[in-house]
Amino acid sequence: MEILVADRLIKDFGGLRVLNEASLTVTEGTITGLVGPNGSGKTTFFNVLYGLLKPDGGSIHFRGEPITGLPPYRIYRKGMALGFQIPRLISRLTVLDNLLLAVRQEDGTGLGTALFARRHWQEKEKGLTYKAREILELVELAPLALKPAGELSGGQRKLLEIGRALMADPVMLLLDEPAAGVNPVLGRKIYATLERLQREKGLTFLVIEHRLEMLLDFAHYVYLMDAGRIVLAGKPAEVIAHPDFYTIYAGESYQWLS
Amino acid sequence: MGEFAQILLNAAITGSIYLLAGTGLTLTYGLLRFPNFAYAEFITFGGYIGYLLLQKPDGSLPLAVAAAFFATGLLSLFSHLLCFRPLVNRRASLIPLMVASIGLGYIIRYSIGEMWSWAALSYQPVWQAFDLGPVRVTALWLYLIGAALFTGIGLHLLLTRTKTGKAIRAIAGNPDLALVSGINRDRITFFTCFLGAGFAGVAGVFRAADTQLSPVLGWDILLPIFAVVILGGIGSFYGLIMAAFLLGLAENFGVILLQAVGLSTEYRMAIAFLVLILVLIFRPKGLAG
Amino acid sequence: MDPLFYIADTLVFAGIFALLTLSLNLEYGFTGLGNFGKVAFFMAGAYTYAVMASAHMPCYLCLIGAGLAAGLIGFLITFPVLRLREDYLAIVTLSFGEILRITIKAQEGIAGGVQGIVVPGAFAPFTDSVRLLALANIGLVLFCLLFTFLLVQLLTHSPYGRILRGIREDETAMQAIGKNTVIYKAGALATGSVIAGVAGGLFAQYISFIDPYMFLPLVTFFVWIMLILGGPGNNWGALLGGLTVELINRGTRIAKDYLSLPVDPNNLQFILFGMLIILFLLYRPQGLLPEGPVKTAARKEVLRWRSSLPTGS
Repeated sequence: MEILVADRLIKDFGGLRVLNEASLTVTEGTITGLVGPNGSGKTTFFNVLYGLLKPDGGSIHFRGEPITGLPPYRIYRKGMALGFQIPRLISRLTVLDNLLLAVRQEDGTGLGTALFARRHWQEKEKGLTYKAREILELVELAPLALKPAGELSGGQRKLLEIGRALMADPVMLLLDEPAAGVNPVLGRKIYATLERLQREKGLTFLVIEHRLEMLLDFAHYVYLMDAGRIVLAGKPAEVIAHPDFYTIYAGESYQWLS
Repeated sequence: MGEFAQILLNAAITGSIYLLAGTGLTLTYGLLRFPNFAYAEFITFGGYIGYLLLQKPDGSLPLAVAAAFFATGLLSLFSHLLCFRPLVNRRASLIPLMVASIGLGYIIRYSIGEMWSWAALSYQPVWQAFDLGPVRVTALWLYLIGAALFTGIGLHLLLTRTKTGKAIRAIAGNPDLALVSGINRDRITFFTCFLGAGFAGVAGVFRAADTQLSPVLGWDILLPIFAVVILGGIGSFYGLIMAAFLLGLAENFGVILLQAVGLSTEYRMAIAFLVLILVLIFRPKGLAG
Repeated sequence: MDPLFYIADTLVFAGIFALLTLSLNLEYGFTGLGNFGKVAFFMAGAYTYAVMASAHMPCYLCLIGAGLAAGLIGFLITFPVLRLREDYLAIVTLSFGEILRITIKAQEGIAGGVQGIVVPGAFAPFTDSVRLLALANIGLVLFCLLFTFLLVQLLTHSPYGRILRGIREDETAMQAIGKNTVIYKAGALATGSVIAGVAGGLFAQYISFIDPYMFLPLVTFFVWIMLILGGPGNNWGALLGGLTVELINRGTRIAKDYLSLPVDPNNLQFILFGMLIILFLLYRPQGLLPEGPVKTAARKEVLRWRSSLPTGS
């Protein structure tokens, strides 16, 4: 079953076509990798998929519904979540608050309910802390729950952002290099966690990843991007073994830069 | 016909003031990425420096303009070194920078009030008026339009022909890229702060010569200047030129319209506000965007 | 002058400015919105109160009207620019402050124009005693202040307040986790404007005559100093800032009568205030009372289970 279908997406910046009819399909309950040289448009692709940028052409469907051009907060409410390449946490708020912020339908988030349904949302919040605790234990941040997010290390921030995305019970996560800036051991651990979530809860992941060994070990399907379009797709081993892969990935594609 | 030409001339005069006053604001806004509200007081300060030389009937306008240019430029440079640069180095965000610029504005405004009193002053030289075809002009207006033309052409040459000018445009366009390409950001910023505020000081001299001099001289025209900067597109000098004269036209035709429908001409300011709101709703990146 | 009356006057003004500071704190301190036209919403409230009170409406109704009118104006003026970068909001609010004053000044038909308008006092019909009147005014202002303080305190220590703080730091991140940030910003500005409007109403009621010259940008500047000094993001700080700056302000006015300085104390005061605000922004941006954590049941709950963890931090 396909959960996300992007069809011939186009995005222009000034005169530059950053996405040139890029299409991809993600099957529900898989880990799908997106790989490509720097500047090939991967992050832009994510931003367009997630509504942070409006596409200049093409369409996106999520769980059969069109989501093209919807603002990110509405896409989030439909069950998709995004992890940024550089984690965007609220650094002056605590780890706990960062998690609570991400709850999809938290009570007391309206002006009126915050004031007049106080007892109700206080009860709900108490309950949510248990969920937060579970997630924090999963990403091994539980002892830091009341620390400001700004005091976490790079790796911890990466983990917290994944944890935050999980707080909303999404069905699909877009993660931009979930293991970037993290030591290799922790990186593998992050991927192992993702795989566990995929296996146990049936979550779907679309990840941008540079490390081929991660893709080989964890991804079910891989797309290779170059100059704004998808040029190869298939099982990780097939894509990486393809003769075009190395010409594109290892240098030839940098030609357009000069 | 004569009336129409007179309105066009008035528009050119209004536009020239806005152009001179807005140049520094838009350039530093583009470079440092925050609106410096103290520009209101830079304009005023220029006006008072001009007064030092124009309080006698035989004062020289060119000398006053030059003095205002240098003094205001220096004031801006000092305020950048003592206030804005330390704040930027401490990673102050946009709003604290704006608040600081308001604080700085109050320091300057009340210092002026202390030194020259709060009463309105007038420049002493009398500007000769004569008929030029269908319109009546004064020498002052011709100087003003000349100064605006000189600024426009001069800055155009600076921005396109010199290394410094190209660097200014590069930083305003993409600060990170400029950092990589080895442009000395500090030097460019100092230069722009000096130059931009210098022009604002000149605007103050002309404004004071055309009307009256008081510590709120600059504050009173800050709104239309912001309208012009935003209409032109923040950081865009060419957009500013167009916007300054467009708003000049809108204001001068608007005043006629206001009189025709029996409304007070005090609403002149509201025209700038209307322009500002309309631009923000329909074309927030301005003419240049 | 009766010193008792002077103290009462100081308290009333400190209360009114504390209200304005609380409202700016909600907008800037918590949500990160730079409202540089606070005086406009204060003015809208004052004039609404004046017009309604002139029509013999009861005081509480006039105050509610003042708040609602200012809130509505605040919403209408800021909504078009909330999708844009934060500096546009600053420029629009600053400009609006000027426009509103100019409009009222130019329009004889609206509330007296440049001549100003007399505002019937709420307590005048009940007593002739100046002392009782002063007491009643203090009571009214402090009641409104207490009520507002509780309101913003509850609001900022709730999931709603948590979202506002999130928007202050990273609006895009908040959109990415499902928050319609424009609605929240509009809500904070409208609420802030309602509070400013009520403060305006109290001001009009208290001084019993208002004209456009009372609503200069200076008022906005005062409120900013109070907030930056007191501590943005801390409601207690807003109160402290309001009181401190008002006392300094009074102090200079008294000093003017007793000290002979080579400079005009009024000029000196503003020069010093300008320096103070810059020094605070440079060396103590968190203000006298720094911001605390969001206090909800969740925090207590976590404090409880965290203590049972082997590696507390």
